[in-house]
Amino acid sequence: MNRTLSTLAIVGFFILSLILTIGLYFHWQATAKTPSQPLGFSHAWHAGKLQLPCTHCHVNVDKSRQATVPAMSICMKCHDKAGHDKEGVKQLLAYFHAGKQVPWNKVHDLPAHVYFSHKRHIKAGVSCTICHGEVTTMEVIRPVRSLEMGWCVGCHRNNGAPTDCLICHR
Amino acid sequence: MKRRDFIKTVGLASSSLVGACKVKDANKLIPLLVPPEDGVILGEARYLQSYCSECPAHCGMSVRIADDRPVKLEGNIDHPINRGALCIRGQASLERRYHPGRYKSPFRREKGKDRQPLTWDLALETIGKQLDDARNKGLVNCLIGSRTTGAMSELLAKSVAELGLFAFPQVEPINHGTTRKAYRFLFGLDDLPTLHFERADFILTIGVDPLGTFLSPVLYSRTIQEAIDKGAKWQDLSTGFSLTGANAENRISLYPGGAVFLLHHLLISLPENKNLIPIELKKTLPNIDLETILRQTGLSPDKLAQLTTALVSSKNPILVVGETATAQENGFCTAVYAGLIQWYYRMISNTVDFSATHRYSGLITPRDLLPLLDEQTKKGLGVVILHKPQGLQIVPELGDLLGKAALVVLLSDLGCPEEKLADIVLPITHSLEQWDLVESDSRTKSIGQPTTRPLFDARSSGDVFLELSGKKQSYRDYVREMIDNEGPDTLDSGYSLHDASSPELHLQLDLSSIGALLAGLNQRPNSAGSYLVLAPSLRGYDGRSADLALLREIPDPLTTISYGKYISCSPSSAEKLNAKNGDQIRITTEVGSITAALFIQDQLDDDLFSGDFVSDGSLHYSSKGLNEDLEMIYRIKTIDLTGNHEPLPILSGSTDPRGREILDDHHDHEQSSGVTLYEKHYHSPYRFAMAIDLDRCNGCSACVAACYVENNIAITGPVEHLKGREMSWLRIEPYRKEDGSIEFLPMLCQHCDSAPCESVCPVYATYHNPDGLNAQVYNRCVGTRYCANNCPYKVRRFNWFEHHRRHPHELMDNPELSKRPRGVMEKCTFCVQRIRAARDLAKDHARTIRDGEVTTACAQTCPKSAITFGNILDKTSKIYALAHDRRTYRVLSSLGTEPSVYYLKEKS
Repeated sequence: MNRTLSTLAIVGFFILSLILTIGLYFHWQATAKTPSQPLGFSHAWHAGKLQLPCTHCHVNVDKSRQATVPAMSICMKCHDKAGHDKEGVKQLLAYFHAGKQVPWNKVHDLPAHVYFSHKRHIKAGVSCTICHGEVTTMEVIRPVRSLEMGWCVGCHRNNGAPTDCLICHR
Repeated sequence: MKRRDFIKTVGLASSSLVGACKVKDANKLIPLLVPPEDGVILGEARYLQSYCSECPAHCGMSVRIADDRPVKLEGNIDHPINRGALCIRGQASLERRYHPGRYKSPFRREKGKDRQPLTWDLALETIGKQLDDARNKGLVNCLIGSRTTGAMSELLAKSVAELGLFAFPQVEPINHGTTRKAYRFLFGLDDLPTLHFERADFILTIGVDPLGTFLSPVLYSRTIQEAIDKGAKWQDLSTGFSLTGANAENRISLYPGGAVFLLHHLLISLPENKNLIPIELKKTLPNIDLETILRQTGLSPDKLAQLTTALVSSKNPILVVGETATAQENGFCTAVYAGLIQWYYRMISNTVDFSATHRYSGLITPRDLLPLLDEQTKKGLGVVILHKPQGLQIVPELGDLLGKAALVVLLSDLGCPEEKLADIVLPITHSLEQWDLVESDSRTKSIGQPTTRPLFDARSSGDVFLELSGKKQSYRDYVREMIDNEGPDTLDSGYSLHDASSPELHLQLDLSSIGALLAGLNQRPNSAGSYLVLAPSLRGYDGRSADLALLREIPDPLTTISYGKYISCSPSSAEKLNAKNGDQIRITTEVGSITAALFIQDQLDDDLFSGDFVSDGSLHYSSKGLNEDLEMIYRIKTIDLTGNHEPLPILSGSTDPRGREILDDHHDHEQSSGVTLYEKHYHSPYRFAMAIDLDRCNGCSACVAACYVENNIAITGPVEHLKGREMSWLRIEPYRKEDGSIEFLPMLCQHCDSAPCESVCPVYATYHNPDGLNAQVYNRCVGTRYCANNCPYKVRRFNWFEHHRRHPHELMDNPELSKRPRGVMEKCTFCVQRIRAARDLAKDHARTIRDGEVTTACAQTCPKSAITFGNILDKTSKIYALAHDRRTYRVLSSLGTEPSVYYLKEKS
């Protein structure tokens, strides 16, 4: 009796752990892939409906390694007047007038040992959508490519771009 | 506990640990509120001009700023003093800005209590009140500070007048006071002239180390090289062994204190038929016979005759005497003789130029501050302001006197020994965090500008003085006004040049006084005994950079010792003591004693013990010199072994090339079959290569420091060094040549075409890339260390540990390349991040990299331009020409590794 009980307890413990681990895995997958953002900003509206070019806000994408998340004064150029009734804009104004920055969550993140240059890719005529997907249809930005090395190298190979390790790793 | 219980407990504990884990919400993208000013592109490095504050030479710098913080210092390429180069101390000085020991906010010190934090307002109010109080009570408020020039000097003069302070002469441990005293005596001038080595056809240096420590080492390294390129001869005479001694064309070792006798001989040897030297002077000079001169200098009659002929027959000679030649008991006479020779051999206003002086006038040593402070203490001390004090701790009595003051205020950026004298400590900004205008010499003003915000709650000392004297103006506005007056281009160029006419110099010669003065020479006793020389060293200088970890991590190029205090002596002296490397000895002199580990150095004379100027402050202080410098030479009374042994991290295994093809190439290329098992590499359009001219390299190690900073190389510390685990990608190897002189060989990854390391890597972490680089991919490396074992040049370094830097030191990291984790191999990359940046720029303009557009950090900083980097496939490039020079060889070329680093052997 005692023995069966303890066996059951142990088996139960391991099954519970397994379920917990699997559950956590999916939870992390779901949340990490499409992180929620502190305020409702819609790329579908700005880039899709309004057809603002990417460089309108991501001003450094063809000048620097980093595309850079736009400075808040860039938002305020329009939202000084526009859309004050919308919930997201209200939040934006609250941040701006408090002198605080919006704590966006990173969607596309490369490991520290990868050196990627936005400028080089844009100058080579690579469209933003190749890596970032159809942003113009996304309400909330989510990753569509794995951004893993195999994927990068595949594209480099197909397009005759260099595949020397030192291009990205140094 | 039973085994089962144990397993259960461990299982439960570990699963609860997993459950408690939470992914940190660290991946934030924080936007700026407002975009940065015009011309600043986020993610791209930029450069701002500033000056180097690490020594009085004040070289011009271009500061590289990445991610809003300075990450690398490079010489300002147009600056007339350093022309793009920086020395080892300049390169390392970036660490001062990020030093964990920096003062973070103002605080009060009280005996036996912790630091009590103060606000700036409260601190300044307290000081202001105390100043008033002291003034009302009739006490003396005073200012003790180190050397300032330019804007700060002007501001201090004003503040001193307004606050009614008593300003002591500025204090510098090394200020060449004896030489200045001699110039005062001879010409009525209290400063040090610029030395135009480049105009000279014969260079005679006595006791000085212009390549390492003397006045402006980067400037003089360059101009000496210019002279040598034009065919000038260089003779060095010195007591002890310095970089200059190791590099001069001829070196003769001189007995301690012997310089004056040699100079006497050189002065009276000036031929009378040229009628250059007045007969009356010759009559007043003491009568010293040749035998005495030979005995006092230790020269052979031949050498003395050769030297005299060389000097007399040269058209534009230059004589420089100082440091160990003047900082000793005959120092003043030596300096007077040197001045007379400079005058009568027509060097003054030719090679010795007083129209541009080094701005050393009025400086005193901490020892000479003592009687002055004592005098004021008798009147009663009020508030004493210590402004960036330098070396005060070597005079313990100064502390006793300052203890009597009502309030001692310390202004310093970095924690310093003077802190224990202070009641209130005010943190001041680093020179990279504030505006400034300084004088590199009396003709050249250099600007300083903030490259970033202050790291801590610090203010510039200018602001402190302005506020104390009740001014509304900020130091920034004060300096900006001065910079604007310097001309419109000053901000971009980083410096401004002023015309200066040479002052009319007259020899104010009072024959009777000079005779009396020079007659009182101390002669070396016949049984000379042993001497101790404590001369400024390349890394130590006057001790101001003692806190910079990089300067201890990089070994001294002459001894290859990194950490620890040591005294060197010749092999036979060591044998007499029956001592080995690392045995601790105690040397007792007439004025005090010093204990250090022993190091056996071939180049030293017998009975000469040589150490670092900063190794023991109490000796300098207690010596009762007749001159104005801190003593550097001492008579030794006794030497004892203490019986202790201190292992020394000597990083070079041997200084003997043992017949290998290291300094030369005796490999017969005609006979080599050229058969190789390695695949032929395809290179296009670049194949990067490096040429190192050993004739120009003087081992100054500036390249090593530049490499450390550029490439985030870990500082491993003394314990790891003793195990041979230093991480330097580039090292200076000193080799003893057959004639006993030293040849320095910078050794780095040779980027071999047929690299032995590549063929043994099981995971292809190291390979030959199309640009000709031997690449190392850290995220591929699994740490087998086969490559390091197979490398014949021993340039690969393994990360045995991760060496974390203490905050805020980690902010100094160059973001352009990865930090290597534990367990991977690393080595020189030919600064691949700089190559990538240059390629990026070239691609923007749809062209290839031009010659000279990309260079490595080591080549960039070399004061002698010994290192050349470029694309060897470009036949018009400098590197192509050098690789095909007659002097060119490659190290261990008979191994068939086909290195990409070409060495140019010494001209014979």
